[in-house]
Amino acid sequence: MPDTNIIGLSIFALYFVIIAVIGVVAARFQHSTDDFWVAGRRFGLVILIIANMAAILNGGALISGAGYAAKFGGVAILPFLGFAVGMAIIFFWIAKKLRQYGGITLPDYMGDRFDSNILRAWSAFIVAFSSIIVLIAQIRGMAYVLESLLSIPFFWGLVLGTVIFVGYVALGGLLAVVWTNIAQFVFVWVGLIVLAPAIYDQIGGWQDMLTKIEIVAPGWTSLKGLGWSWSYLISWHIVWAVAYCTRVELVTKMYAARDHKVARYSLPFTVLLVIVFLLYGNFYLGAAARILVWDNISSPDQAFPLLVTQYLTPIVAAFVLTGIASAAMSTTDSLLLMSGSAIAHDFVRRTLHEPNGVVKDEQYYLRISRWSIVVIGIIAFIGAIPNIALLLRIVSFAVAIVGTCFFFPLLFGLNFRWVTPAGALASSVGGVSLTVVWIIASMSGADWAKAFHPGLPGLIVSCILIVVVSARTQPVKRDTITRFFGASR
Amino acid sequence: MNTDLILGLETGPFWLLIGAPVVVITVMFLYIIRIRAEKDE
Repeated sequence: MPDTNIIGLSIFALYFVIIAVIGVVAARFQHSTDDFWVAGRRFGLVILIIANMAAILNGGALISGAGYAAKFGGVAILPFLGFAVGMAIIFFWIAKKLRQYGGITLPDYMGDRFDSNILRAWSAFIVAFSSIIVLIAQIRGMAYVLESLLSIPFFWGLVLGTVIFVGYVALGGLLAVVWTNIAQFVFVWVGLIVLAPAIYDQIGGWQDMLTKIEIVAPGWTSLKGLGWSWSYLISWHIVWAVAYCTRVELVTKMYAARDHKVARYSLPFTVLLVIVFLLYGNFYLGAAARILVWDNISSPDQAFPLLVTQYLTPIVAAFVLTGIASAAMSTTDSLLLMSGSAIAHDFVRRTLHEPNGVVKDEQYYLRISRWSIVVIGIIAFIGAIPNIALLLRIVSFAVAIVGTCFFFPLLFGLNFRWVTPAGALASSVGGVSLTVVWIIASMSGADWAKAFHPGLPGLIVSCILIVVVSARTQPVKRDTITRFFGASR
Repeated sequence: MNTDLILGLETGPFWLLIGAPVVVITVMFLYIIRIRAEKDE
């Protein structure tokens, strides 16, 4: 066995032991579904910031983010303005009321606010479906890294990564997810920091990088990047703003905060840290990948792992790649939890059992929760086996579907009494349907569909429908209005 | 080099991509100062 393999294996084994111990210990704290899905609602500010960052800085954001920037230009990094605006929308109009309402999932909110099991089931389906799509992308990213790190075939990287994160999520729920996020956070930061001097030696500082990348790829630093239209650029920002304030794994973290103030305080800190992180992790390293390794790869997703293995000593490379694999896991585990909760909590408990008078104890639902996580892990694993290029493009379509499903029912439904169940349903189903049609047209190569990100037309229709249909239909019962808005004025 | 730099300090787009989010973050922090004094309902 070569030395690099042994070093990679040793560092990853260390990481694996830490994560496994966390999973087992966290399992001892799971007594109810509230413990399992929202960690007993006990998170303080620092923990919540780390949990938020882990939900955003996923393997896709690092691996595909650098690859995407390398391919399309610096403009293709996570759109900071759209991201900051999205988080500000959660901060001002969503976090406080959502935390005070105190549900467990977003379908919980949809079902309770609009007094509708149809909306609950529909939104649980969208959460499960989109989470599995993003999960597949994340697992593939993780497997690429494990392939480089451990010198094992891609398939076995897939098996190993999936077994690890399905194991600790099924055992310890959100508590295990957040504890492991902290360990993963340390690995990611240390990994990226040790990478900096090696890349600096190759391409120099910020201005040197800008000069070199323009020689290699003219137009890379322009505002439109390599081949984006203005309309696509603007819609990319709008869609990401909406995508961030409806990002299920992020918004549901608000439920786990100690109180609504902690939920809100965590958001600006999260934005600040993510922007600093990605200016280096996507923009600078994306340019480095384009300058240094672009001719040696067949898929943009390979750019980052190759950069690391080519320019670092084996021991440092192993640390960086373990950090990136852990970043992939730190989002994957949240997504797995979300899709598990959509099935176990929203479908089985709230849609099938409770409305029909079926009574089961907490231990039963805890068992169902764990099994649903194992089953979804297996489905995502099977889905990740075929090769799908450009993970971030697929992810951006999946998040657009979630955005059009939840954005207006969440934003308007939490802030205005006049939103009706029929209005919310029409908005959600209409917006998602148009987005899906646009995605299919865009991927089939229709020129008209490529002018905008598919989420934008869906959002416009969703907004029109919620206003028009709500104006013509009956509101929810007075009790429900009182629960969300207090006694009537 | 392209004059239309994304992160070149001297150009407008820099402020759009980095400056504008910083303004948004600052507004959130200022609002936190205000709500810190609020009593829980």
